[in-house]
Amino acid sequence: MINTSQPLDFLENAPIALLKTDSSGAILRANQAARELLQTKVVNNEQTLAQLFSSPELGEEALLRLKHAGILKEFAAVFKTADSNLRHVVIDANISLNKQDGAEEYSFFIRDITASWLKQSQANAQFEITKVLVGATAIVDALGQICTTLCTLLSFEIGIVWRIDERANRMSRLVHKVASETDKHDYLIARSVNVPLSLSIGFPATIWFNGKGKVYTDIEQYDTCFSEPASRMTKTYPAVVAFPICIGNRIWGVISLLSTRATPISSELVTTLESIGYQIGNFVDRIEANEAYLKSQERYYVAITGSNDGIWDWDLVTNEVFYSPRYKSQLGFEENELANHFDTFRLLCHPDDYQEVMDKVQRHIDTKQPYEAEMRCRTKSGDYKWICARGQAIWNAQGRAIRMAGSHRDITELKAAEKTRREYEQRLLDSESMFRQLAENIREVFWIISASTDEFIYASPAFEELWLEGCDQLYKNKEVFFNPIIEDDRMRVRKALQGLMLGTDALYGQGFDLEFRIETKDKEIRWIWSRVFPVLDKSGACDRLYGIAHDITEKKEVERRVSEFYSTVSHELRTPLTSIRAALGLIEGGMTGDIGSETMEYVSIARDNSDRLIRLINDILDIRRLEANKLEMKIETIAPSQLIESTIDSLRAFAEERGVTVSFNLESQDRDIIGDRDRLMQVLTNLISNALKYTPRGGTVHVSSTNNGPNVKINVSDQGPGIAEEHMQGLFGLFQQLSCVENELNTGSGLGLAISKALIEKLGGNIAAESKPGEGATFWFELPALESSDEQKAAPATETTGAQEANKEEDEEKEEPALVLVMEDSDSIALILKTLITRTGYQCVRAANIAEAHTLAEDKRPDILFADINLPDGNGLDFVNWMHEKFAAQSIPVIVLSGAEANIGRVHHPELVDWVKKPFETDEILRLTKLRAKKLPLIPK
Amino acid sequence: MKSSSVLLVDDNADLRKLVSKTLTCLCNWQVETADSGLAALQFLENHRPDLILMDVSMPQMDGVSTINEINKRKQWRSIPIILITARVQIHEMNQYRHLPIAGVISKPFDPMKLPSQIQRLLEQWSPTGENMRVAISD
Repeated sequence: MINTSQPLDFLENAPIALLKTDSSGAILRANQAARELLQTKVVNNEQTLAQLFSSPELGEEALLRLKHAGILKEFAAVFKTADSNLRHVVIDANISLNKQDGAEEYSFFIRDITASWLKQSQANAQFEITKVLVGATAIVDALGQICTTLCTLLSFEIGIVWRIDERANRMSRLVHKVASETDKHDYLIARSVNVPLSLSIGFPATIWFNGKGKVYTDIEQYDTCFSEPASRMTKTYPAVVAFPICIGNRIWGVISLLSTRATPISSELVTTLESIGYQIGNFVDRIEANEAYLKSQERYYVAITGSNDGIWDWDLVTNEVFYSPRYKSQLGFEENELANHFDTFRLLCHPDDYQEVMDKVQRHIDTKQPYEAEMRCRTKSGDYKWICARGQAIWNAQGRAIRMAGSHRDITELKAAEKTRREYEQRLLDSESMFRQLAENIREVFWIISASTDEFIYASPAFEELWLEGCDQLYKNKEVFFNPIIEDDRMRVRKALQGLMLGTDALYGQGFDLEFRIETKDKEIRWIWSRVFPVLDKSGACDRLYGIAHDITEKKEVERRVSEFYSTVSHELRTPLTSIRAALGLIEGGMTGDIGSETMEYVSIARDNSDRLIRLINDILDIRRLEANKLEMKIETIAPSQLIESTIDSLRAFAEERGVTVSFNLESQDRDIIGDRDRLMQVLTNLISNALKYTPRGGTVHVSSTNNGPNVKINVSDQGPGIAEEHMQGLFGLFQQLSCVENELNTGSGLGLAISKALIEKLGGNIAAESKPGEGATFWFELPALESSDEQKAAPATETTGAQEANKEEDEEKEEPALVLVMEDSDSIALILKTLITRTGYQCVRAANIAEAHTLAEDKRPDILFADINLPDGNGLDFVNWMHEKFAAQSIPVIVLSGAEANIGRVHHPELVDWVKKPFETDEILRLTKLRAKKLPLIPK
Repeated sequence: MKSSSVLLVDDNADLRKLVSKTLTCLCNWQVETADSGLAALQFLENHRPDLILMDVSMPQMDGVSTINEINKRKQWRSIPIILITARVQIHEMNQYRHLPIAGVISKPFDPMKLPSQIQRLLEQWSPTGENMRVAISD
């Protein structure tokens, strides 16, 4: 049967692998080349074509396509060999008829292209790796991608990368990538974490020793694996390749690719992988160098910027420590004075802190939580500085910390500041909680405003009762507090609180009282009294504003009734007294015809006593007004000589009656004073009539006026019995009488001196008495003189008084006096203002009308303006508005003096304007000037 | 020579008598009296005194209202008016500031000095009534 056998032999020995199947794909015959390819000696008849494919579906597809098209060309596939290796093949096929039985026979011609495929994939791999490396910045990420790429392209299932740690003699696994999760790999994954770098280990340490790529495909090649016999590994992984990652001569790491299927690994592939190893090495080197550079940059930066941090670098193996120069100088040591050893630190660290610091270091090493510790370190001079240490350890492959480095920062000042802050906060907290506790239980309204946020941070429940608004609303919006305040009072309250918060007014430093009205929701007007005081922080700035307030509507009502009562009493007493006094006067004056001398005597007694009663009523009313602080003063300029002369004139009759002479001696230049003429006459009358009463008949009362520094002093001396030391004290108190004097004419109300003292003090002066028993007494008072020339400087104070001291202080405060412009048409008022202002220590210019004020304002740029409203050439408020617009940047404060009520709507910048009603009081003017001038920059004029 | 005539308006009969006596005896003035503001206005309808001395606190119509009424009549404005009152506290005095009057004499007063006080106020007075001086007697 040569005919049949010849072609068979021909097929059998053909150099190309050939498979014949029937139409179902069952293999009928495989020639020698095919058997070699499939690594099998016998081809079983029961085997199908599809079973040869690594994926059988692909085999079915090939069969179907052949059936349909009758021919198959260049069909790429992967065959799984009998020993589970993979072969890359290209298949061509056709259909022929069996000559014997006419059945269809499929012939498959198979070309093994595994070798060229490998070459191609190597090229691909190299290309893909390059792509990965170019784009990567982090080593681990890049290595992970590389493993995945190599496994995919080269048909491996696992990729592992170890990092070589020569110092620790270990290979530690950085990356492992598994193509598909299966418990097959558990052993490998468990064993490959940390591999000792020792020859006896075998795979993968061998790579480090050889420095070359290596293929492990059979047991001989393995020797040992993870220091165990290789059998375990070879069973699972018949194809393994490993190669080093090299940076020059240094081996940085090892990559191994493993497969559970036996695949031929050519020496070319190993060469390719080795070159990829170098490529990765370059990449790693670049990244590491960059990181090192960045680190050194950082250190360099810290060093050259003189950041106050000292640097330490501690070798945990040798206990050597590098201390940076800054570290040493921070503690006062020279470069060569501290040994580079851990013991240095042990000695410097405060013994009480050392253990805690070391505990923290240990915790950091154990848990890798950030290390930060505060401790005291001894300086060269022996005292301790507070140091804040931060640091980071470096762990080796076995997880042992081998090095630790960090910084030392001097926080001594920070600590001190923190300590005071804490103390202060605690104090504040304590006082505030006490305050609140108190506040919750008292009917008064308490509140706290935070100066930094200008918000109410607390109000006691009583607030809700009075304001009829919730405290919560108040915390959200401070206007809840201000809105119910009636318009006439609102601005005043607002300004007062602001002034306290800004601390602009030294006079307000201790807080002050406010009275204002609120209109509640049910349209009721309530009078509120409030005391507000600032709580200052360490620097003296206002931190909190505390307020207490309560309803004084009832008290106000009582006050009103008392006032009404006094009016009524005064009137009701005066009316009958008027008749009595008039009747007695007429009788005494002889209008009712002649009467006997004895009758006359009694009428005179009655008349004297009714006069006394009248004086008493007047004095009581005066005292009440003084006590209620309701005495109004009409301020004007007064020539003392004229005042004294007219007072003496009015007392001439009384003096003649007493048989006493009154002499007046103007001892120095007559300087004008400012005050209320009627009130000063009242005082002087009181003093002179007292002197007349106590001076014996034939004696003289001396009145004199002298200059005393900035003041004019008026003395009234009598030749009476004098005043005993023990009586001097209460001399100016209420209802004082010198009862020791036996004198039927001792008929004063006992209130005269008390009233005089109150009046003089209200006018800004002093009153006192000097006496020695038996040598008469001198009562004197002094009041500020108007400035006319440079007398003030020429006349040094001969006597220090409270007022002068106060002035001196103010003078010292002001280095560059502010300029005040007074716009006032009345000469006398302008003169008074000018005096007040210059006495306070500011410069002053006066304009008599708006036109002059324009010129002066443009020439001199005043810091404050005092403005009258009714001026000959217009309304002063127009000038105020013009000036505020013209010098908008300066925000010049204005004090408007007017007989009318404040007209806030008329001015454009009401926040800059204070309103003072005429007749004004001098202290109000002084207070406002100081308040406003304090805010001014002191610009030399 | 015709003596000056004075209208004294006061609800206190004792005082009317005392003031009348004083001014009649000391100045030889002719003193007419009215016990209320209304009575004073009625009197003025038919008479023209040279001076009006006016109390403040009176029933029916007080001194201030009466003065305002008088001021409404042009022909009466030239008559000087002096208040004689026991209401001389500051807040009360403030109410008189804007009145067209020659001045204020406070009660009680010394009858012997009354003519000179009145004389002084009249000297300073002008019918336009702008400059008011307040005299308070002790």
